[in-house]
Amino acid sequence: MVDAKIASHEDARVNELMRAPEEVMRLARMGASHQTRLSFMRAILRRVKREGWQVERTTWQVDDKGVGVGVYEARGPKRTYSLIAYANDLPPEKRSDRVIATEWDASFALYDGVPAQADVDRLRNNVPKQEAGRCAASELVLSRANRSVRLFEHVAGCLSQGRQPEVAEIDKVGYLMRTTAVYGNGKFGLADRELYSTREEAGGPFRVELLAVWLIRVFTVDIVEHMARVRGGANTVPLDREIRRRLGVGNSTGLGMAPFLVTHPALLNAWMMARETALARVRALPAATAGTIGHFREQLDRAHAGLGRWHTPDERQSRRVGELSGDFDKLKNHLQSDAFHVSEPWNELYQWAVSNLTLEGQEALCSLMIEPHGDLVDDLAGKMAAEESAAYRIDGQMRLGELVKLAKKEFAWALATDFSKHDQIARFWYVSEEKLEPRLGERHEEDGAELEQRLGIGCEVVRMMQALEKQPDSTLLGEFLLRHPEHRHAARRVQIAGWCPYAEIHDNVLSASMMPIDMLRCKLAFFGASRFDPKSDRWVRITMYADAPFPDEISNMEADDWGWPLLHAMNPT
Amino acid sequence: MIVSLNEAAVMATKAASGAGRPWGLAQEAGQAMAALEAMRLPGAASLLGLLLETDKTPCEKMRPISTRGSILQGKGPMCPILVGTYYADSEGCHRRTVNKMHNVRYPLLLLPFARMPWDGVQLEWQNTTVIANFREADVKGSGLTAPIGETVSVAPVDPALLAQSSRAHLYQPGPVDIADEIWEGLSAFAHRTYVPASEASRLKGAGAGLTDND
Repeated sequence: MVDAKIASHEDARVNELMRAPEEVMRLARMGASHQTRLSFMRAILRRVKREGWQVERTTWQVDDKGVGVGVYEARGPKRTYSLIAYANDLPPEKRSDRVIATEWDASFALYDGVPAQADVDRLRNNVPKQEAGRCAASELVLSRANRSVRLFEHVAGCLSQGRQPEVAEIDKVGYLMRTTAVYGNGKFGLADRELYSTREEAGGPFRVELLAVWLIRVFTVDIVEHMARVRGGANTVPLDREIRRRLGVGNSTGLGMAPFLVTHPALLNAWMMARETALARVRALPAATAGTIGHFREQLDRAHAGLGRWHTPDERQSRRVGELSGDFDKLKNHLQSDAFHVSEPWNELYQWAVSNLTLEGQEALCSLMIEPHGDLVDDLAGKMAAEESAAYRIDGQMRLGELVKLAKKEFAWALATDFSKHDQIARFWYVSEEKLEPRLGERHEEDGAELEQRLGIGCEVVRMMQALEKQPDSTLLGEFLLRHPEHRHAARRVQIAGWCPYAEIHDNVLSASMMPIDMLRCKLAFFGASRFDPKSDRWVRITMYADAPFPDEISNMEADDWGWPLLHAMNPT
Repeated sequence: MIVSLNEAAVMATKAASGAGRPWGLAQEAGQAMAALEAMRLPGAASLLGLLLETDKTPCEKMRPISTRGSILQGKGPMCPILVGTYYADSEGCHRRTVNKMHNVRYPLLLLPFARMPWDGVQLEWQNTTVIANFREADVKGSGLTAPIGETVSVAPVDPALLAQSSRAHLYQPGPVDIADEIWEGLSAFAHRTYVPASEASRLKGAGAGLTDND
């Protein structure tokens, strides 16, 4: 009974300290997101380690031109998942990260189980074609990757001459290959998520997609070593393990990913709710232990030093990395005082950060504060899945007065926006006829706005509210929607927001000043990506799994100590 | 064409939007078609028939005009997505006060909505009876894809009735086989929602235009 009282007091404090959606769901802050220990890649490797997964390359039929196939089996306690990798000899003029490309250096499928030769042959005629091919429900993921030509050549050249590549060169790029799409959930005939969402290891968000990426990382090293051996024969050396670990898998992502956060409100809510709950739990701790303080300081040093490997020619992001470095200096200075000898020291630290650090710094601090508290927060990584269908049904028996009240509360930001102004509706989202991919157009300059996708939720809610002004409060929503089905989408989103507080971005995604990369970065940080390198306001390159263990070493290593790069990796000998 | 349920739902949503349904309603059409196909019921054929017959028809002309009393009836044939969403939104029209719907196009499309408020539901029109819940459906008769349900009766039933059935259509997630001509018909409607590319939008719209040989 006493314990229950304490628990309930603690829960109440955690609830008090949850950051409000109007603070968290702003694009500027979402666009400053960092990976945390709840990020999906980290949760995957914790499981792989805990359950003793084994990865074995069971097929390697690649010729001297680098053309062929490799199969990697990842064996978990209940099931095996196999990455089938098709290697290609791609002419340079065909190498493009854009979705309009038709050939890639390598293409991949994650197979559900162990593929027979017939599967490998069937997929050889489809996987390299990507969107133009067809997969089946036995495949969970479809992906492709291009080489970073510069680094790939450097590494292959060095290894073929019996020496290791330059660490500085490795760090300049960070990966041998970058994926340009990782498709799942039924795309192009792949298995529907529903077919595997009840599996413990695959039910969390993007678990199969990011397992595939971890295996792709192995392939990128295998193919570079293979090409080195073709050139160097007996002189060739394998890539040093410490250097190898610095390599992640790159990813180049354009607009296609941006609408996802808008079209998956229940899922976005689940991700945000988990991260915000983790942060609030840490802030609610009455005291900090010596162990967690030490862990936090070490991670801070690593994060700070790691900025030396965050290269981006993008002016805005480069300035922000510089400011983040300044924030880390300020933070270290602040910690020289008795910052931890107060009540609720983590909360005090967070409050200090809000007044003293940039958004990059504040969000990095959130990640660093969560980092030493695995025992307190890791359960939340298992609560980040949500099926949108569960949020789909509309309660038509709600009275319009109640709906208006809810909309005023949850969409205050939208109701304060003047959508009659040109710059507030300057953009429109559409699907291109050419590649069936999301695109962003300029409403006042380009054709096609009449076909816009319904992503401007705030604008839609405002329009619905205007229509509701003429309606009696006592009318039932079901009756209203029967006469005005054009407001059905807005009504659904208002009701979802009523029970999913973090479901909506509290910014206008139609505005002239909106930066799509803010949406991309938020999503990719939840994946566990690092080193965000924007190539424009709607295109970003990232690195995945950099510094993480490889399958052949994870059993002998800490599985989850790679969110911020290790210090000795900063100063290689 | 063998497609995933996700592909089926996305295609149906775009197709309904292309035929002029408002987005929120088009999403309902997409979910409904996928739900029927997952039970191996002819959802795609029904939706395509509906869209062909009601292309660009304003919703105003396809909705019930009176929602009081036990009967839903429109000025002309009603759209099953409009009627169905209304029935589900209104929790079976306020728990069963409505039990007859006159003149509904492709009444099979009512099923995904009609079952929402109940553990089990029975739909009847002409020579066809369907008993269903979320897991399975039992079909009797040959009018499953009838273009019009002259009088559709909707009633909650004991789901135990399904257990006695030998004609069950079980809900099975995973790929479904949709006839090529039906898929192409839906694709043609969906195609209307795409914006043709211009050289400028090719470069600008996705934000790329950089060299990737680095």
